Amino acid sequence: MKNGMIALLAGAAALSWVSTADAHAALKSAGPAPGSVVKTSPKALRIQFSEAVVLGFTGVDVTNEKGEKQALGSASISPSDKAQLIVPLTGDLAPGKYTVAWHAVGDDTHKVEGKYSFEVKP
Amino acid sequence: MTIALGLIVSRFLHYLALSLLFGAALFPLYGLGLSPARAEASLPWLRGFLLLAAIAALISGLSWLSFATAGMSGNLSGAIDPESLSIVIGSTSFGRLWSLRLALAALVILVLLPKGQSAARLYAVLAASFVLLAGIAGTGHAGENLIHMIADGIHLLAAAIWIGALFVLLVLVTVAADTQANSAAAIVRHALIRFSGIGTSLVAVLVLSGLVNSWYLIGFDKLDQLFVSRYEEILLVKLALFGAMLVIAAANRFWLTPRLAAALASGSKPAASIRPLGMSILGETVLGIGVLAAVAWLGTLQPPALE
Repeated sequence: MKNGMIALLAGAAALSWVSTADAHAALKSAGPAPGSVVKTSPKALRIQFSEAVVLGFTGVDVTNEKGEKQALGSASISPSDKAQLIVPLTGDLAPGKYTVAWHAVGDDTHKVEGKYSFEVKP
Repeated sequence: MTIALGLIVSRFLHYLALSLLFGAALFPLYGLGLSPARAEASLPWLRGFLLLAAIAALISGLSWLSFATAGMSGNLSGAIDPESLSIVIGSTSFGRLWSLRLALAALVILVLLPKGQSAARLYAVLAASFVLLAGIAGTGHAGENLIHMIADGIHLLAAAIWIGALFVLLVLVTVAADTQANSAAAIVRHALIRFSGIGTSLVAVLVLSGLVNSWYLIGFDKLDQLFVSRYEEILLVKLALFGAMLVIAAANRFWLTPRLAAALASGSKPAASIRPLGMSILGETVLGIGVLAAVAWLGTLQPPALE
């Protein structure tokens, strides 16, 4: 009976620990950096989150000042860092201000989103 | 809003189904003093009741997973989108845990399907529902701290024992009211007297583990904001419902149960004392369901201490 109780508690604990929830994913840094001015169009956007993110539910939209969406390649997670999202740009960005609207889901299953902007100014 | 509502309803049904599964499987053992081998023979409705609870636990678990997926993908169609679901199951620990939980719930259904009686089956249902209930503690906001997680697990189990007991008592009282038999009324008296001692310990456990939980989730330095956030508003509603349950439980224990015992002892018809008992247990059950609904809503909100 006692062994049974211990096995039960271990089972419950094991099932619980699998999911030990982390804090929400948050944006830590990005390249080009939020609010920065870059001389040439970046080849890709790199976004560093505080937690590992789930690729299927994490992505960005890049719009120019007129609100036109810019063409993006398919996003990927950095092989060396599961908290880093890499989004290639398919073409060069013309000089101007751009807004990056991002959304991400971390391992805690919470959806978080935000916006930042940068400027291309040769 | 639809996604949030779907998630709250799924959570509520999942808590209720698991509480009934665990609480109702346990009650015959401590509340009626039956051996696991005799429990199913003495209570012919028990297997069907547990089977329904297990099916409800599986379905509500599935819809919890679906609506959580919808929340992650940002639109309602994500709930039934195979691609989104496979991402959640394949690449989040929430999804991996949930597939294990659903498999365990399905196993309980299989165990309960065959007719007939077996002591091993009741043990298996108890073990699986214990793991499923206590395992909820790790999935939520309690998952980050071991003491909080243990307190949350104990809180869930104690609540399930109470809710499950109320449903079994409700069935026993209904049988006694329908048959008008003194033997059925005697079983109700026996069960209520046995449960009253355990009920008091359950309340103590619920209050203590609830205090530990609120320490982590609210923080006592934030008590002055008690009416500020939605989270605390719902928590206060939950506590009010809990308080009302205590009042009814006390009336049962100190007034209605002694009245039934006196009626049985004096040889007069127990019907007059069975009816108010049934009404009070029904009222307590409805309040308990309200508490579970409040908990399901709370779980989708951000607790003040984590803001």
